[in-house]
Amino acid sequence: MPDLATVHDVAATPLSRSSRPVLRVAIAALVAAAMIGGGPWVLDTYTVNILVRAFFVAIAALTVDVLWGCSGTLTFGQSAFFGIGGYALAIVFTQFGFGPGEAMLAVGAAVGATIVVAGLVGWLSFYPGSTPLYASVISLVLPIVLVQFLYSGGTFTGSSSGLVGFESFDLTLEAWFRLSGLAVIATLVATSIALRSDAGGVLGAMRDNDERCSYLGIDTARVRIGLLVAAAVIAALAGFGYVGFGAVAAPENAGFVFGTQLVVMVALGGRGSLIGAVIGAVVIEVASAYLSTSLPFIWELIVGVAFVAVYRRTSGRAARRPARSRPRGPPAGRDSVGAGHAPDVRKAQRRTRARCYRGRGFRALQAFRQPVGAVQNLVYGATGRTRQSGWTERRRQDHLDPLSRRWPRALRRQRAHCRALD
Amino acid sequence: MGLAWLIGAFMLVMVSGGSLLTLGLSCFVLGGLQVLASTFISPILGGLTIAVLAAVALRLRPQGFARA
Repeated sequence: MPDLATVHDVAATPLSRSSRPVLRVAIAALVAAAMIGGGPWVLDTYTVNILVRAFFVAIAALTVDVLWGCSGTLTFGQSAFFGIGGYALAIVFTQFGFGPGEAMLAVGAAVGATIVVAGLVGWLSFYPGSTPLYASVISLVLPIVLVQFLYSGGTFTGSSSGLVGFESFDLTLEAWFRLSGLAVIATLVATSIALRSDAGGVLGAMRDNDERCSYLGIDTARVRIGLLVAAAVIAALAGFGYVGFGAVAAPENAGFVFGTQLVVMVALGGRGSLIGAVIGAVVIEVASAYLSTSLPFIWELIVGVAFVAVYRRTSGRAARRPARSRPRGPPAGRDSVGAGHAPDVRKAQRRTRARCYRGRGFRALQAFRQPVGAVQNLVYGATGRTRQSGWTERRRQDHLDPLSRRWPRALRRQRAHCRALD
Repeated sequence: MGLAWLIGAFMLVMVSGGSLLTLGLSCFVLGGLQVLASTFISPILGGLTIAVLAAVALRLRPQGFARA
């Protein structure tokens, strides 16, 4: 099995990466910081305004990318943490007014509430034997529940119209732009450093083979809960900044639709690529702002079609392959053996097969992995990311291994899935 | 527009786990509980019923109730 080699790869990659990529990241970060610093002199006020919001959204998208792309948990719930951060600020400033002490209180409330909620959600989502699908469902439930609570909060949460008219941080637009831009760069650099470490390697290993990580003595449930809490706190701080800038906290910022948009941004930017998530978020946010005035309803359709196109392109193969390999795989073999058996045996086989194929759509969604296009390759060239080539390497080994050649990847995964369900 | 219905339907299909019989049953039970919660407690809580109960049910039986 090539999986052993995979684990070895994951363990070895941080060591084999020399200081060169670090230098590249540092240079890229400095260039980006310089662009952020000079941005307000070049761009018009409207664009700067949009970009500040886009930067805060990009930080949230980055956390979705870490959860989905790097550790394999498809999440729709980061919007809820974004909303918690924003509402913490709005509620504190509405109730107590604005001041340095109140600002500290608001940050504390945002982080504290997020840690409690994320810990609870993580405890509910990840337990020994939990499925990624279940974690996704919980992440779907969380924003729905939160928005219902916001609706029922009356004047305290502003109900469906949200909270407006509170005094917020008194910063100029340029200061907000530089603050948010530098926050994105800092998050990006910190995340990429963290992912290059051994602990970051664990995330990739969990995504690729959770069971084997458990065999190796890694408490994957605990690692995933810790990761979720960390990602949630960052998303909450992004929401804090977003609402602090706009001085409007709306239920839409905490809702399920926004959570889906974050996933779409990450998917379009390239799942598993940090810079891709930021680019996807900024491009979609800015384009939405400009195009939603000229193409009010068509714009949503364009984003949706782009999502489907990327989905088809990146995971079309993964989604199609099981259907093709089915006739020569074990289910067909068992079927021919069972042809002469009693009807109840065949019924049981049919059930087993149905179990194999249930939820394939969701797993196909998990298969977003490859870089999307020219922008991605450009970015990989600039930052020296090598994660994707690691994947290609693994695929090559799959082909070299006679065992895995006889059992295509999709089929093996399917059988593992069947066994897990039994 | 219709998002609440979509999510409710998705949750019910997850809970039922791929059989029309259990789908009908889960619709009946969870939908009934939603109506009861909306009528006797509060409509806000009613809006949460299906999502929360589906999450609890899936924690107990991750593969749904099709082969109970």
